[in-house]
Amino acid sequence: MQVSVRFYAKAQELAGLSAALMEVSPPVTVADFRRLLSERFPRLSGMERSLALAVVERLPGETADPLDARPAMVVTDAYQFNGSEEVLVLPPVSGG
Amino acid sequence: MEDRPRHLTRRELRQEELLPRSGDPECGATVIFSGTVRRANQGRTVSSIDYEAEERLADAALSQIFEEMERTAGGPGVLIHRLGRVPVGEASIFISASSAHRDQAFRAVRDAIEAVKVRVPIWKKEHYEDGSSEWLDGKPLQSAPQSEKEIQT
Repeated sequence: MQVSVRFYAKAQELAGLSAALMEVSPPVTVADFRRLLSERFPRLSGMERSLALAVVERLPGETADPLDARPAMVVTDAYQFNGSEEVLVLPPVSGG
Repeated sequence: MEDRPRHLTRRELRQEELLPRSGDPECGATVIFSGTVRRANQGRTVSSIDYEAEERLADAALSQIFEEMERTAGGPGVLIHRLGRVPVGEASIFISASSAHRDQAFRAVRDAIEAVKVRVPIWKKEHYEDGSSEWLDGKPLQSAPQSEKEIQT
């Protein structure tokens, strides 16, 4: 399956682009997805373990991309991707 | 739209926003915190900082931190983070909390700023006077403490 991925801040700089399509074979865990990101974008490998991932669920038949109007949810290690999500790649944070 | 406080803005923060919207006769203390862009950071001269966010997640996380802060303080609060380009000397974040007594208000504001630094997907890109720029390293995004989640469910 193909998953849409969006990168933020330093992850975007290291990936070299703001969005990409990634080919993945389910079942895919969060740890698997981090590893796939490092393989596809080697410059991200240094922050692989510190990347957080969030997903935006796509409704059946919905093709709009990116899914700006839909709620996003940070996923924990137990989450398994089903292929319908947009994935947001969140590097370490520095607000305040 | 639901009527709730906004926690993200792209405009300049004004000092009058730091005070709670309405005075609470039960409160004897208001603590206010303003985080501003500092010129010197790690030996480099900063001219401005760009703040970027995943706004849906950032707004949700800030709302949760705001609720925790008001619960700790017991009185009304303010929590607002600026996004976009913020020049040296201007504020990037305003936090205030009112309590019956000062200890609660200090603790509520301190907890809130520490939570903002690890639980909100906001990122800083520093711009330096030599024309270069750099994303700061930051801390891995954390979720809310389990005890807070249990309180809310």
